Amino acid sequence: MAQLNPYLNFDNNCREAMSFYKDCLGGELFLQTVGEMPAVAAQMPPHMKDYIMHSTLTSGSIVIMASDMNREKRIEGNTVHLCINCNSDDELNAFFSNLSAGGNITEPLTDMPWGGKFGSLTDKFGKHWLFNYQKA
Amino acid sequence: MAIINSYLTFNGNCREAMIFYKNCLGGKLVLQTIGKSPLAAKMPPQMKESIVHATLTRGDLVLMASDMIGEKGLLKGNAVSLMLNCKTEKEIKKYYTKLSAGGHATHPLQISFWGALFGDLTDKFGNQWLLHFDKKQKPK
Repeated sequence: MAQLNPYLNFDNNCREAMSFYKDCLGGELFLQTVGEMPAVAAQMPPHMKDYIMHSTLTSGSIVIMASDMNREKRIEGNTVHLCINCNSDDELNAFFSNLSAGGNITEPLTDMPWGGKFGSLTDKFGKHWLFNYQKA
Repeated sequence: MAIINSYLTFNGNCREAMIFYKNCLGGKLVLQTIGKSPLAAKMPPQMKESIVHATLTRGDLVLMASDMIGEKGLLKGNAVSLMLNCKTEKEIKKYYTKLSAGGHATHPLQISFWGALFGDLTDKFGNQWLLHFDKKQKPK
């Protein structure tokens, strides 16, 4: 059965962003540069050889993919959020605190009427995150 | 362990969009309107049919969405896409056809240089999808 995960675009700071997400969320990070793929590198300007062609962060069930390859000028919107559903209060607090570093907390973690603890933030790379921990 | 999913925001057409995604991908759709939520008393009456929270679930695939918009309004970007990793060629072809209906088939499915079948599209609601199927990848 198909799997769905967010795919993020960056402008030559994909490595920095994905390393930051790895520090925040843990897991294993795979990075592949343009230069590592000769067939691609041959079609790109030399300065792009260190750009990230494709990267994947896998931390348990969390999969985030990202790239520096943009077909059009990149526009950072706000209609697609990255939603993290946590399994403990500790996990929620740690992830929220880690990802907010250098970014902007739009809604601090708060107990919500639906029985969850919820918060939102925009990280230092401009990506929008939602966090929820549904208490049993 | 935590899970991640994409959360989409719409401008009053969340129900229509999520029903479309359900028709494309299958699964179970749960829609909660403002009118039936504790928020009803705080919202203008014309918003009572708007969706406060929606979840489409099919196996491990989870997509959430809402009509609730923040202070800054909706800014349509192109820097976050929905990556759909398919398990069979039949599946990827079906999803590509269905999701691109009424939208833009920006790059139809073709064999990529890394050997997988890959394509992208912008659906009729303006969301970007990447579809991927790698024959070498063993189905889980």
